[in-house]
Amino acid sequence: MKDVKNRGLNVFLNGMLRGNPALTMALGIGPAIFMTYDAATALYMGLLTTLALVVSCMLMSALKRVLPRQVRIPCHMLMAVGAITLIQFMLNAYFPMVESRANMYFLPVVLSSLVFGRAQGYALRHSVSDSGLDALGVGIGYTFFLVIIACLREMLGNGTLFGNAVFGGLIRPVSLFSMAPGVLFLAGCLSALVKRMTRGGGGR
Amino acid sequence: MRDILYILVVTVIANNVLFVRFEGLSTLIGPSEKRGSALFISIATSTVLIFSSAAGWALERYVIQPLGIEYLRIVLLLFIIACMVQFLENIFMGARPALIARLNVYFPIITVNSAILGNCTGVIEQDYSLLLAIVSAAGIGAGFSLGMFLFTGVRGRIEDSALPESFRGTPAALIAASIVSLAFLGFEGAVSGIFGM
Repeated sequence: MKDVKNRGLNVFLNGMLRGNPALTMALGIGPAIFMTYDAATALYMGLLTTLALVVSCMLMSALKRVLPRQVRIPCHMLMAVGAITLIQFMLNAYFPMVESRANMYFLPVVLSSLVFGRAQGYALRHSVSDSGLDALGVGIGYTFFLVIIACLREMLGNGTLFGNAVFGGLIRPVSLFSMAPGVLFLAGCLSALVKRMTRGGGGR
Repeated sequence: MRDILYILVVTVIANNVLFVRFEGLSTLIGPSEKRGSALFISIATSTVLIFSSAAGWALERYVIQPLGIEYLRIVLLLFIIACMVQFLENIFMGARPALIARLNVYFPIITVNSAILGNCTGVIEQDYSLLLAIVSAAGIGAGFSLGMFLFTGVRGRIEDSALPESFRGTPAALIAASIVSLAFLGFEGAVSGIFGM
């Protein structure tokens, strides 16, 4: 029983940090540029992506024996679009205040290579429960990644955090960080940091 | 003629799909490590771009508009693109199985390259003719291949240099991509300079 629990936790943590495709393979970096203008949007988008990831990975894993390899990609595309549309309808019904935002950010989530790539790369080779846990880990890791980048971007590029001025004018904003190249730079630094932190026990 | 030239200059250089519009970045970082996979991804992406924008143009004219189902446009376009990618994968799975295996998830990811969908919807919104649709798709494909080619060279230089262990691979590639994209900002005024607009 304990082994099962530990294994589940390992799958989750591996998806979240060491094996997170957003950090190790730079998947989902394109949408991240458009999602990290401010920290609140980043948080919202991260959660939406997490939901989409979990649903689409579990569906793909459950259907992996039914779908022949030759038609996998179009079927997966339709399933992902359907799942994300459903999630969006539910969000609109229960949290109407975010409605305008949800409509605007439908496409970046559909076109996030993180959702698509994880379902194609991981869920096809693992069981439903494993891919669900892994998707949850990847999604939460990605949300952290987005929020950290958005906070840094707001602080360094604009001198604000969640819309409030920080630094009190001591540090002049660097406009590079509010532009897209700054996101790539910050993502590279973050990815190196996580790689260093999670380097196998004791280091090589 | 002038239209064609204008579209080509804009899509290949001034609005380079990878480094100015940041579309399809996930297929840039991974496959650019090896020259062979970079070339293959560029060819596959350009092929999908050209065929899907032609198919999207026909779909809009002969199916979506007559039936009045504009609300299904995005889904149908995505489905067409996914079919194209799957078709290519099936072909290459027979011809070059080792290459597909090495590309791993990067091949299916071509489907979600936002430049492809962006071109399809852009062609419909701006009411291009079929020729212009194909030219703009080819221009974006050429821009993608140019970016990929340049970046493979940069990656080669990075691999040779002495980097801290934790920066090797993806982190260094991301930082390099950020610097290359700053270089592409220099082309910003080129279009208005050449065409006087």
